[in-house]
Amino acid sequence: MYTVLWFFRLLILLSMFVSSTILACSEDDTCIEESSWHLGIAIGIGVKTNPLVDGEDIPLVILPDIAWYGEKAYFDNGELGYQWLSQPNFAFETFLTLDRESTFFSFLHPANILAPTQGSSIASPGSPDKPDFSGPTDSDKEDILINQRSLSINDIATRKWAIHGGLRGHYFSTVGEWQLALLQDISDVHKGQLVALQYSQKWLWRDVQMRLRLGADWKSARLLDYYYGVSKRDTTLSEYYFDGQSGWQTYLSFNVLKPINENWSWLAKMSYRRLPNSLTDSPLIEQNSISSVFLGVAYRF
Amino acid sequence: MRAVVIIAGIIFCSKVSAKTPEWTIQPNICVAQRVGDECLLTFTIETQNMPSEPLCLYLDGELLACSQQAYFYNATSILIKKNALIELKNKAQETILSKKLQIKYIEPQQRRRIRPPWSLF
Repeated sequence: MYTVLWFFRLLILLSMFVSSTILACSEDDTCIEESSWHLGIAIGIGVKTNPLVDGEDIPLVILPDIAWYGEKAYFDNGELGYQWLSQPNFAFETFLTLDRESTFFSFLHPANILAPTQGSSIASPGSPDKPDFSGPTDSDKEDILINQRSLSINDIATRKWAIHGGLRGHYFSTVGEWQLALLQDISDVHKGQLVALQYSQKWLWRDVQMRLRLGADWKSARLLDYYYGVSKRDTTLSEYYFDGQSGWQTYLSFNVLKPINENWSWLAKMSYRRLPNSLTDSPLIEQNSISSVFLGVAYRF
Repeated sequence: MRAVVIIAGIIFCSKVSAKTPEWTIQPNICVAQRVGDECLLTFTIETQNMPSEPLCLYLDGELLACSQQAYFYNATSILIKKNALIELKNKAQETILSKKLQIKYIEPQQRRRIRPPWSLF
């Protein structure tokens, strides 16, 4: 809880003291002409860590960017929505999106298809009755939970993809943007909820576009328990049973885009997301954070 | 008898059509540089079959001009920032005719992307 309070204080301070060099919409990659597509592909090197026991890190080699915006409706990187209100200071939309929580459990994630790894977790079907007693194998990983009972994701029941329906409001100040979103599982997979608060800030330094995002997501017990809880659906060994409780996830991300010419740009992305404290005792988790980094070139069609 | 019916029909129809007010507003599209810019539209109005009473021209509910039988000889100039509705009303504030005046932009309208670019994963 202290971490969350500290995080909100940081958000408020940042939004008060940042410079007024926010970009106007027509100047950068975050704007799109009405009734047009943004199609792009970035190629480079990067990785997104997987916090799960025996979860393979996701290599980031190819990053697509797919967006279409009409007058009100839009599709943006997996989110389908309708913006009811779009004013200089306020915006409001409703949307459908895939629950990205299952990314780390599923081989059928686009990242894994575009850049499959050796020894992907799906390649070794395990028995839910035979959990992995060997424990974490990579002793160098930070935040590893030593001496905790661990259960490989190869040995548990499948976590399904869920679809979230959501409402989101935006407030655009002179220096940045606040977002508040409420999401509900509408696919009846876990029936959980998510509340997402985010502050973002853009800068333009010469032709270099930078974007910082800070946010905190509250996830309900149903959502977290579905993915990170362990019960008899996973194993008959009751000592592994774990009930996921609701909790806050805080995150930070920083993106830099430097145009090379009209179509090509350098792209760098990095992010850090801390898992809720309520999950650190889950036998499925061996790291309490998710980090990602990517450096490459992006081509905009 | 058939001839009488046909002739009466022709006379009746011609009288009905003669009483249907019509107008032409040219041009009815204004072109601005970008969203939010004001656009000056100068248009002429040609009317037909107007009732013989004073009629007034309104732009989005605001009075522009009045004239007997809507004879607006001079070109009318207005400034608009968005699509507007022009109406011709009689003394009883009944709308006789109306037309939408559209605004188009040279630079296409920009929208803010909702999700950050390159954020599929």
